Amino acid sequence: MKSHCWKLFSTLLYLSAFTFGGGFVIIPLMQKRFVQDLGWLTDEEILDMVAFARSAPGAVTVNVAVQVGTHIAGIPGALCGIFGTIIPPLLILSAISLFYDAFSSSFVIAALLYGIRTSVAIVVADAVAVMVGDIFRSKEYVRWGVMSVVFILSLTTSINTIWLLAGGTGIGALIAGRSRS
Amino acid sequence: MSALIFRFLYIGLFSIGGGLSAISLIQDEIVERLSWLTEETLVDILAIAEMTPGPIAVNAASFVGMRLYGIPGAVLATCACILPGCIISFLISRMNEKLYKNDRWQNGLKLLRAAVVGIILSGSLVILKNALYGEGSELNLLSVGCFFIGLAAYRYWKPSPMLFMMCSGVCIGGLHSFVTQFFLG
Repeated sequence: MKSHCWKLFSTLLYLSAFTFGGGFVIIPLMQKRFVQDLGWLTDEEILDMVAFARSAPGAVTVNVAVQVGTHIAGIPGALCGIFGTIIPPLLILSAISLFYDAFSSSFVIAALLYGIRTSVAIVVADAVAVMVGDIFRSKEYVRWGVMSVVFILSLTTSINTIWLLAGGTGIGALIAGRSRS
Repeated sequence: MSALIFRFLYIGLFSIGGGLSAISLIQDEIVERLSWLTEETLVDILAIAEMTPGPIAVNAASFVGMRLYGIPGAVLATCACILPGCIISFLISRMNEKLYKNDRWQNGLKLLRAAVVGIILSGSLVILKNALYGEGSELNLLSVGCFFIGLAAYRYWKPSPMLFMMCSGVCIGGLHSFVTQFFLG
């Protein structure tokens, strides 16, 4: 358990250092690491955690980390998850708040950030394609419908995510119940 | 100092649904009501938060805390801002373990997962758009080229994402600055 805690902490430490652009980036990365490499979670479990994390207040990444930690090693795990996730942004932002002017005008940093942004888009595109593919392969049309409607609404309107999640699940459950009976 | 902690506890408790709601809360509380930050600094923080890793609320808390009270301020503001979410997620996670065998709960979860994939998909399109369009409103062809070559390389060699992002980040960044420097003036 101690080695699990350490591995969780170090994994989240370096994943968190790469989550440019918010919670969406870290989720595919966590999925690859925790599901495929370490085998600690299943695909379904990580998606549940993301859904719960988005329904709870606060930063999605931190909320997912808490749940992964709890799942792996109880409360010590949750603490390892939290600290692993917040230490990189805390350090980076504290440093930047001191050297903001130098940071924002540096040519090298601008180029590097540009490169990393494109690379992150590549990794995310790859992981999301796999998730969407899984849903389409499942041959369950209610799931296709829920995914597409939530996708379109979330892209075109500014409805809060929590309503999209709750509504998608509720309406989907109603339709599924009716078609089965 | 306690005012700082309570403000960020409040922001942490009411920013449901991700970064955008946190931004509007920070705008209301920190900029307009308390004037701890000016409007311009907030825009700067958002720009920095875009460029740096980490959730936007954590970034803002670290930045504001550091400005006001140095390192203890940064640490306390950050912890305050994530604390409500952590507690609630922890409780949900425990509840889920109890309900796991319930059939109706399982069916609901199945659809919840589909809904989450829909949200992740739309979030990833935003990331893709930011990466490919850059600052301008036109499609940046160089970025598109880098994106597809990078994607092919990533799928072909299947490297670890971290290694890939570091190497290709440096390569694409270097290539981009080289091209813009020597060919486009």
